[in-house]
Amino acid sequence: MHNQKMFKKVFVKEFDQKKIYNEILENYSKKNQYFFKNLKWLLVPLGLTFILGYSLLNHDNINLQNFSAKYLSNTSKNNIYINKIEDQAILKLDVDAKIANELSLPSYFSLSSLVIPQNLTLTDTYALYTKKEMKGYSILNNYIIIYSNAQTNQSINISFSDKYKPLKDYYFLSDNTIPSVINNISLFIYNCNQTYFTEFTYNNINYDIETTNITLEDFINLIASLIT
Amino acid sequence: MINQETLKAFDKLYKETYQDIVKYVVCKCQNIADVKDITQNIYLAVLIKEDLTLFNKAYLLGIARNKINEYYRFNYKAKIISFFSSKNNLTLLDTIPDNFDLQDYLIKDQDLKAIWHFLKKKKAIISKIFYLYYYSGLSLKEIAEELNISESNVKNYLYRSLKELEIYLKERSDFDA
Repeated sequence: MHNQKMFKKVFVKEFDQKKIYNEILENYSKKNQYFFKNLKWLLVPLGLTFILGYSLLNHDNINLQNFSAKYLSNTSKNNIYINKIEDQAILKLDVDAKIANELSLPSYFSLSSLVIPQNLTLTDTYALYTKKEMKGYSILNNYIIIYSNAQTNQSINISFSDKYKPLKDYYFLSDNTIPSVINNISLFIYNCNQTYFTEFTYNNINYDIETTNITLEDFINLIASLIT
Repeated sequence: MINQETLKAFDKLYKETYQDIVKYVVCKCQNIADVKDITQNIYLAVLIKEDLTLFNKAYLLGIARNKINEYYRFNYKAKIISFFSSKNNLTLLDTIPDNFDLQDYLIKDQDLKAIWHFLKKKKAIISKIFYLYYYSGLSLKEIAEELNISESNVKNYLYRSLKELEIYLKERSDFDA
């Protein structure tokens, strides 16, 4: 009995709840400090250009509990929540985009499964590379696929990677973000004017989608086609 | 800076979910020494979200799953090595007494670090069994179900490791003396 208690004590000591709690808070503060301290290095495009702009929009968030779309599974849990963006920070990234063709896209991603509005066509596919230290752009961070229609000014950008989070040239400073659930997968949906954004991970692939002048239903159908 | 409201919500969530999250991470990790780091990563991911009132255990377990994958994707790939050869898997359950323990060694406070060191060096499955058996208080059958191995293997792992640990602690103790 004594030894059993001592074994328990080993784990109580190593996984000390209070100690880990304090370390989390400490790391959170450090992370914030580190971020602000190194912000200039994170945002240096091609060496040293940094552009940061803010646009402020104040809207109320929208919860669409009974939202229906053709490709939303009826048997799965769905709850659409649109987070209106209050702050958006725009930045430029130090990356190199190389044109990729359909054939060079990775095998885990299939263009044919995507549900895209019929008036949009595939216009560009890129592979985005980042630098490894200062040794040139050698790390394939993510792919970008762009569907667009120049006449209607509509576009869909799908970024994805099985290794990294797709890079984007903006980030959100939104309060009270609430996750949506599409086909049982939890994700965050943002809206700013005519643009919808989302980012999520499904089957170990990180996705980042941005649409312009696309209806919410088409946007949800696109997401649902990736989360099958 | 974290505002008081967020901190309060985080505090509540942490207290409510900590034991379950650690247990989940222990069961899914590749080395028990990684549990602390992964647990921190999970709660840090939660803390950066603004509205914590919407988080619950199920959602946190989803984050945990992603964080564990992320941790091993970026750190290292585990080597899958069987602890026992196939013939050893057949060790008879009947030959092991039911209430086994370290037979004639009484663990002292100064041994705790050495035990942790011992467990870290062992295969992940062994430290998981120790955690589930001694900390979570699960039965051998429950551990077998949790880790998806046979009950006799759980018993074997535990029995053999205790024997090894006994020798290890005795040697340390002799050396210190």
